[in-house]
Amino acid sequence: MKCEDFKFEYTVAPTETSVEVSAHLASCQQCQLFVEQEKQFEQKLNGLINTEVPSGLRHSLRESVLA
Amino acid sequence: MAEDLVQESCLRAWKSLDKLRDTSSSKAWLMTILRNEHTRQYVRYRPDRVDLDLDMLSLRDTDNDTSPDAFALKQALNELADEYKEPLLLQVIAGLSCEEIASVCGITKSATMTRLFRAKQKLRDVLRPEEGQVGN
Repeated sequence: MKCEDFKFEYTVAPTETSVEVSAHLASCQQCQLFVEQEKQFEQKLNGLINTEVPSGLRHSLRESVLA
Repeated sequence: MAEDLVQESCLRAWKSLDKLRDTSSSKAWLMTILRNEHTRQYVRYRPDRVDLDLDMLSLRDTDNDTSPDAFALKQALNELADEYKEPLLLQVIAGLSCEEIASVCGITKSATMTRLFRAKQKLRDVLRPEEGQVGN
């Protein structure tokens, strides 16, 4: 497997990687570095998308609308 | 509105449970119902508009990431075309697999993978623009 193919598959779905992808990762230092960077990116993305609405927002909005 | 949406979707799913042929696809099936119901509700939705002074709202939120990177990422996410944004949100929020996303969006698995890749590539470029394109 080429590094570019690995990067594509890993980027698309890090949790659905094939045996081939795992084997490539185990033997490629460059892709191991890429995975570390991707993990940070995925973490940031997850945190951003799954952010909770601030607890006081509903109350503040309600107060403002009813005022 | 989100609670109404989930309630209506569950009701619709329950009513048409006999149409679910493959129980292993139930997650994607439910997401499709949710997606269709959301479209229906959005078409019907007529919000009452109220002018708000945002300064009056206490929007300070210490839990959220307020870094420039997070701001840029959020902006880039909002600017993503729906065809890229929807598969990404289905993966990140709903935890659907590529195959399930393909089923919900009515596209091939290969198209789903391409869209996910491009979506993430666009967002990653915002954080690390110096690295340019990878793969594709």
